[in-house]
Amino acid sequence: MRDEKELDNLLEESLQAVENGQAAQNVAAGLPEDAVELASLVRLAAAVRGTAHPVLSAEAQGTAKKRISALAGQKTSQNGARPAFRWAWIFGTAGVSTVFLCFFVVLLVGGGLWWYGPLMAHSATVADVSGTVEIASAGNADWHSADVGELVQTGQRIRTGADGSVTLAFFEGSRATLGAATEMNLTAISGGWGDVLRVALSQQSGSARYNVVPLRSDGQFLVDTPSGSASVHGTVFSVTVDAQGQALFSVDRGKVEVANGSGHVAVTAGQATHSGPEQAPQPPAFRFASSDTLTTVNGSTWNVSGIPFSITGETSIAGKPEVGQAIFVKGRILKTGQWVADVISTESRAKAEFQLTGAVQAIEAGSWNIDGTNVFTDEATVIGEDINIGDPVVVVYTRDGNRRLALEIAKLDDVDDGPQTLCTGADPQPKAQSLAEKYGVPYDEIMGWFCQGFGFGEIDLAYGLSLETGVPVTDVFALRQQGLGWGEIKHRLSVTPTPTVTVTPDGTSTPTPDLSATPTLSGSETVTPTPTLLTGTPSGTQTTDCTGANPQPKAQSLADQYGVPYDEIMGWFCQGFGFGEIDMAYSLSIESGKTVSEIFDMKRSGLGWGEIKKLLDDEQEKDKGKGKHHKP
Amino acid sequence: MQSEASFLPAPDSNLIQRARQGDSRSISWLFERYQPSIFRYLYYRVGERQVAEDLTSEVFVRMLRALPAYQLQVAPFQGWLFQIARNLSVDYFRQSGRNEALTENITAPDPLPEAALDHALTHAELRWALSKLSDEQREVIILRFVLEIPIAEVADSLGKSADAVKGLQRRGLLTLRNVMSEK
Repeated sequence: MRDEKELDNLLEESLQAVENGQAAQNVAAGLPEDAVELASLVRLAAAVRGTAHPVLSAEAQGTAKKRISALAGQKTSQNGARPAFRWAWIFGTAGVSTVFLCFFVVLLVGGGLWWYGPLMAHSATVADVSGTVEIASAGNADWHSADVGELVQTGQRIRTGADGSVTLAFFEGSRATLGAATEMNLTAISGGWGDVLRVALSQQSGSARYNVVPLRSDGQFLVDTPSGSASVHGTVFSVTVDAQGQALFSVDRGKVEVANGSGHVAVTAGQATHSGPEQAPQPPAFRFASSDTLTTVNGSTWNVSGIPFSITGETSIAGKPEVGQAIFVKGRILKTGQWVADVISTESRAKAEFQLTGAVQAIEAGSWNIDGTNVFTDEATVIGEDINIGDPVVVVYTRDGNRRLALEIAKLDDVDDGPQTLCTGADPQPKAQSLAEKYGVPYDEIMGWFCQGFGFGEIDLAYGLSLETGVPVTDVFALRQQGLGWGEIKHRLSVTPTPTVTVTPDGTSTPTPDLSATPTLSGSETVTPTPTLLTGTPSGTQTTDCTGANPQPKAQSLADQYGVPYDEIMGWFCQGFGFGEIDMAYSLSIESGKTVSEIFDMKRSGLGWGEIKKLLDDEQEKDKGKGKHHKP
Repeated sequence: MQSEASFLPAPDSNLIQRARQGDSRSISWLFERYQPSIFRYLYYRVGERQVAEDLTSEVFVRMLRALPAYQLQVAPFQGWLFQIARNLSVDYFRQSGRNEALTENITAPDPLPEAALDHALTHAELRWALSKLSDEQREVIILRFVLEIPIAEVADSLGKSADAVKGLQRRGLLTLRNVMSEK
């Protein structure tokens, strides 16, 4: 009979076996007779692991980010270390993508690779084998040929020969396609019945293209190289690692965070970054690729069919290219306009190919300017729909004398070799529908803002402010896009130098400020009252000049309304809060039971009044729910 | 297989240093990386989505405030974050007057699968079943099987020996199994 400690250890060993990819049923069945009681525990542990765990809602993420953003801004400001960074845009796309994740349609990979078994969830499936492709277990140099359908499990390695390529398919549809002479480890993979893919790959050499379906927000797809790692949630990108361990990360769709010990950058569609083992990732830049004859070599300036580019000490050159030989070169177009080669190989392609990416700067009849490079168009040029100034595009072109003649211009977001994501997800989106009804505007108008990266909470706030102030909602969003926080926007729109806010109770719990002054948006007229600190005694009887008038009629009115000292109201006012806000805070305090200080703390954390009210309403609802639950 | 804890590379000291200085990218990186685990942890500890969401937000606010004092050499970053989350959940229980056993607030899902052991559970089922465990058992089951953290790291995080955690793990699974079979 085994003692408890032996059972504990045996259970842990069995659990490890399951974590290493063995089926729980098999592990359970293989337990010794005197420990058969552990079988159900092994299966139960696997079931817990396979649970589709909840994720933080997009709304909660947005709220959290705003709080952290506000705090980070305060800290930065206090430190004076660097200018305050506006987070809104950084988090904006992430927030939207998080919403996408909730609705994405999973791509069924070819070959019927879709199923939810635990083994599949902890392995990748070999597909599309071409040429030499081999697999070895961790720490084992015994390579064997890979077969289509074979499972590659955590810790295993896969490599391709000079003639080889292979695709690894993950259970929820993501794919990694290894090009020739490429080697990688499947460092870790987990997932389960809930579709949450978490993958870490280590790419030591060669080139690979990754097509990652939009993951749920707790999903993760990491590609490590000797020079840094790429972390994505849903995108298409490529990684090339040379013999020195330098890596080139190129993004076709979505956004990739590239990081190493020296720094990190965000690389977006059409861009690339280069990093070395001891070198921080370079600033992202648009890119080019050319495949044709090497026509001249003049020092560090090379030329392929009339297109010059620069060679640097970091350029990875495979083989010994000679003038007259066909080469393939890809690199980055720096802000200076210089074309810098990152990777050159002597592989020969079936035909000459030239591509570049960039943001559209100008569109004229017969000529486009792509980030400073002119390309010409003719009647045969295929141009994608809905391309506007500023859009990132990829241009496939040919040489026409000294000109670049575009064969095709496509918006990068239109490149479609993976699953589609819609910024709407569900159609109609219930929250958007609700806001459209609330504000009496078309559903598409709400979704238009949403698809620009604004959260529904922000949209609600913007329309609310627009209604309150009479400022067009486009102007409200414009302020937000300029980087102002919602609190600042509200101040700018709603507070006059001598506040004369009157409160018109609307019969509901939220007082609606009826502003007597028409706000303007032009610049210097920031109308936030300048808080003048109380002079003399900080508490007790005081006279103050932060209002101009003494006593301030509105403060007196609020003091009377809420039965608090006049000085208390003026204390808040002199801290920079408008009378409308003070009114709001006291009203919310009465409704919610929170102290006025707590409510102002929420405001200081960066939340808008709409958000604060919603949080308090939710809390009250929750409390009501609890009350119901406890009723006999 | 590597567990989730070692799955995500620990953020390097440069990243944390930049976050300390208020670099928003670094802070956003930390948030994006760790919020799924922190939220899951809190959800199963406190048993209420809304509370877990609020506390998740608070974890990162406190992280930001405490970063200047954080020492990478003393505690792994993820473990440090979980400690913040654990403290917050304890505070929450204390302030709300709720028992950590959660049984007052969570009703049994209906129906619980008959053969739960061989099926994936819904998170509501799991949350309910976890609420029947002792605090220590629940903590270990969450860390081991929800967050997939290896025994050694769980032991470090809880200040217990690996053997003690293995014992809690087996007893926790036994309790969980019994709870489900009784339902």
